[in-house]
Amino acid sequence: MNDILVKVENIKKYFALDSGVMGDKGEVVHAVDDVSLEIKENETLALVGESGCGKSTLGRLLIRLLDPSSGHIYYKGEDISQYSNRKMRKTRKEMQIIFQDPFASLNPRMRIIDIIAEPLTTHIRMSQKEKKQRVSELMKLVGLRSEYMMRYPHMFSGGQRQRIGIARAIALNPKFIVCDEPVSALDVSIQSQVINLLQDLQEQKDLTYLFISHDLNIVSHISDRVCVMFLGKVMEIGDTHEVYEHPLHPYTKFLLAASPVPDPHLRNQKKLVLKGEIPSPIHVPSGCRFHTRCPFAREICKEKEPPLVTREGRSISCHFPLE
Amino acid sequence: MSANVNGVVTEEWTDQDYEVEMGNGWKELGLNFVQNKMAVIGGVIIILVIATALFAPFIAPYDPYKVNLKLQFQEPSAQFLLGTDMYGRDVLSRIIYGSRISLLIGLVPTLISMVIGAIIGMIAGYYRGKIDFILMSISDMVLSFPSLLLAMVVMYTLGASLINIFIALSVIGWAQTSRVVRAQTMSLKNKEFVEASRAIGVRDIVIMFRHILPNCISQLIVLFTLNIPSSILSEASLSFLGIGAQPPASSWGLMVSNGKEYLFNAPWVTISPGIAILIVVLAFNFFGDGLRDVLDPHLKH
Amino acid sequence: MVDTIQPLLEIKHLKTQFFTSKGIVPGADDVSLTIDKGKIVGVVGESGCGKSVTALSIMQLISEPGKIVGGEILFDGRDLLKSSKQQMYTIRGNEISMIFQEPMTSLNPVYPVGKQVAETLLIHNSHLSKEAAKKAVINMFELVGIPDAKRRFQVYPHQLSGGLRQRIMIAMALICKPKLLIADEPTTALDVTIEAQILQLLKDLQEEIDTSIMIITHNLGVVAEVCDDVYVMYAGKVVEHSDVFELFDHPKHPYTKGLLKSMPRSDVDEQRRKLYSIKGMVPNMLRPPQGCRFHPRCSEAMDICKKTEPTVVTINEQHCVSCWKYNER
Repeated sequence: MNDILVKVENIKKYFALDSGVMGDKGEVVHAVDDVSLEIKENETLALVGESGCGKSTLGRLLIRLLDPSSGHIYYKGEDISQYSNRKMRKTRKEMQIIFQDPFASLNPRMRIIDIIAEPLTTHIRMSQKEKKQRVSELMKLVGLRSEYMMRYPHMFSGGQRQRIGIARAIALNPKFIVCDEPVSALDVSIQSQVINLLQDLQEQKDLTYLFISHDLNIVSHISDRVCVMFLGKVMEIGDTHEVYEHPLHPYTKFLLAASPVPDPHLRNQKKLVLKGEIPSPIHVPSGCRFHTRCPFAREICKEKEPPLVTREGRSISCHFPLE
Repeated sequence: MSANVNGVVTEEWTDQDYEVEMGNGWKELGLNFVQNKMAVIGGVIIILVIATALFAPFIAPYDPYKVNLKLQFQEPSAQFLLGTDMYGRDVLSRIIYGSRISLLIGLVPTLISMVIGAIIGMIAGYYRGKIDFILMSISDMVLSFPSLLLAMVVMYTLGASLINIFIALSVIGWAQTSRVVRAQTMSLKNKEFVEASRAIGVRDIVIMFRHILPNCISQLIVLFTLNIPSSILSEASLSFLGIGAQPPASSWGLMVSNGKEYLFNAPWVTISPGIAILIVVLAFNFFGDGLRDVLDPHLKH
Repeated sequence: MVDTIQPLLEIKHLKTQFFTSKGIVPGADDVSLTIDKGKIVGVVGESGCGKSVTALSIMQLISEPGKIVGGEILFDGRDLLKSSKQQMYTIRGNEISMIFQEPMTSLNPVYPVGKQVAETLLIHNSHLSKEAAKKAVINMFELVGIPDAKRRFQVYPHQLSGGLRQRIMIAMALICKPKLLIADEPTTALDVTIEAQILQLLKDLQEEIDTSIMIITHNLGVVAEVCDDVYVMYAGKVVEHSDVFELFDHPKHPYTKGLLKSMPRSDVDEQRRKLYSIKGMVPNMLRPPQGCRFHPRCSEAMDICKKTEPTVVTINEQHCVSCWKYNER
């Protein structure tokens, strides 16, 4: 088995709402609430869940774009959760992020060459010529014509901008990349191009991905393992294939059933539709957070929070797992 | 199926796809601006005033400082287009030379206060927390103080001189800029391109000057043109109150002040510089409004 | 599926153009589309393909610099393009209503949601009393599955979740029992489990109150889930039209085929295999390609595709395609 690259232990991130300067206690959003997981070298771990489940926050915590409220993050066995900014700078070279919105992720006032070269010029002293050379290579690698490096972002389409974002992310040859919904803002015919590119790069450069997405079809295609989150908690982690075939957590089952399948012949199978709304992450339900929507919930689910139990590479947090 | 070179899918596109997109940018902004007639008129007037200030010695028909008591209070005529004042000095020539001080005072303190305001606003908006609280409290204090009064306090303390006017007007001017820049910084800080830089490990100060400031520039330009007239007006007010430009320097505010005693006998001495102030202030306001209309919708995209 | 079903809406050769400062953009170019009574029709395509423009043209809500320059929109026998503004006011919201992608911006934040829905009803039925309107709204809230309908009447939009807001929008759209409901990306902004709820609701409502529904979406999964008929649009044109089963089983147009093939699917074991992808990108509509608009990206393009626009070929009763491949010549 591969080595573990990133490991998270009991990480929590709470955001205080409207905590004024006067020190009045505002309400607290439990964005990520006691999550532990491991990401193996060279694998793609997908993080799925609905809005407000904390998947983006968790992704940003892992690369220290946000500071955790508590818990530990280990990168190559070293606890980076308390690293100072200066100490973190070295580690940053090895971890990068690709964003969802290709229009907000590029500075509109900078040329493409400067955008892609920013990681290089920040960490390495290089001449103008070297910089051009490197950027040109990177642009070719992600399928862009290097002639256009002097242009500004607004002259590119969404798919091309996403490629620019990817070029910037791989500029320093990182090991670990957080992909935060990298294709959900793109057109359907462009999505598959970018997914293929991400997979090609993974093979060529031995990358490890944390792939955040709400699209279960894409996740099934790209990921080795999948982690299902609900309201800041991990519900289930396991091999993607196994989880899709035999979901053990009721939430996973409903989530999979809800995802629209592009095949009209399957539509008349009575669909499992989950009732109710997603509870607010401010007033988290007691016990198992899913119990308000779960059709199998019993008394104990309202009272006691189920622990995350791992058996044969499959982790699940439920009092009454499905068979 | 798709073009597959060495395992990497290349995206194919033609040059055609670009040409049309290239139209965006400054050229289009210019076109939009020209369509706004008032802004263009404002711009033309501003250029004329700047030219007047630069070439004052060549344009002015008389020496603005030469006293000739025989020619006191001449009415406007072919010889003295705007008449003469109580010392027999040509009013037109004095207005032409006065444009130098008015413009200088319009530009320099505004520029200084913008630089100070932008830096303070960026720091407050980027770091938030205690620094933000302290800086913005100071800015609130400055904003809640009557600005002319504050300027007068500075001028009385430091004494009347051009440099001190710069200082006084800068002290009252930065607060508004810092508010605007702070708000903009707070929204830009959450943009993904700033996050990307932080993920790369770019230092905060570099992020501020490379990513945040350039994206505030269009607002700053608008704010700049709209702040110039208020500086000109403040200078006029201070000079009118006798703590601004000192005689015999010819500042428009000072001229209005000097002429006020003869308002009913020789109204041109007061009214002419008054109208000059009015025109320049209006010109900058129209120009600034036009700029804002052109630059701001562009930013929203 | 008897042939005598009279179409509720028939769009013939609709042309809507946008006169921008940089040139004319053909939003919808020669679009023909039919919606039968009691059917759910899907219009699929990528951004800028003209699907929303077509919908807004039906409602005549095209705003400057756009303009409908040609064609006919027959609704229940009347040509909407020849209707006066006054007539359109009585049709909009009453006989044809529309729901949008973002339910937050479609509701006025300063009024309670119940009041807003009641207002729509009162505009078109001035004889109704306020009490009767309130009752009708609460009934409609219950019908669209809003729990605690009586209390929700008084609630403001920001107090509701995205899913509930979309239900309110649907209630507002259906309150006057319209003959046609146009849903523009109704589930795009929603989470998967909520999306499933809303799609189920649309299907149920369609049976219950016999409204025809036109769903505009980029998601082929949504189409497969609820639609009877499908129109595929690309760059302002309808490229393929078919019964939903036929379309997914036997797609004809290379674009449709490409879209279906490029979708990752969880039910098929194809992990780690390369996804099919359509090369290139959506054309710039200021200068659409000559001939078939899809030819620069088409893997099966022939010489004629580059020069001449393809005509509509009828494959069978339910299936038409605009592609030279199927033209016997």
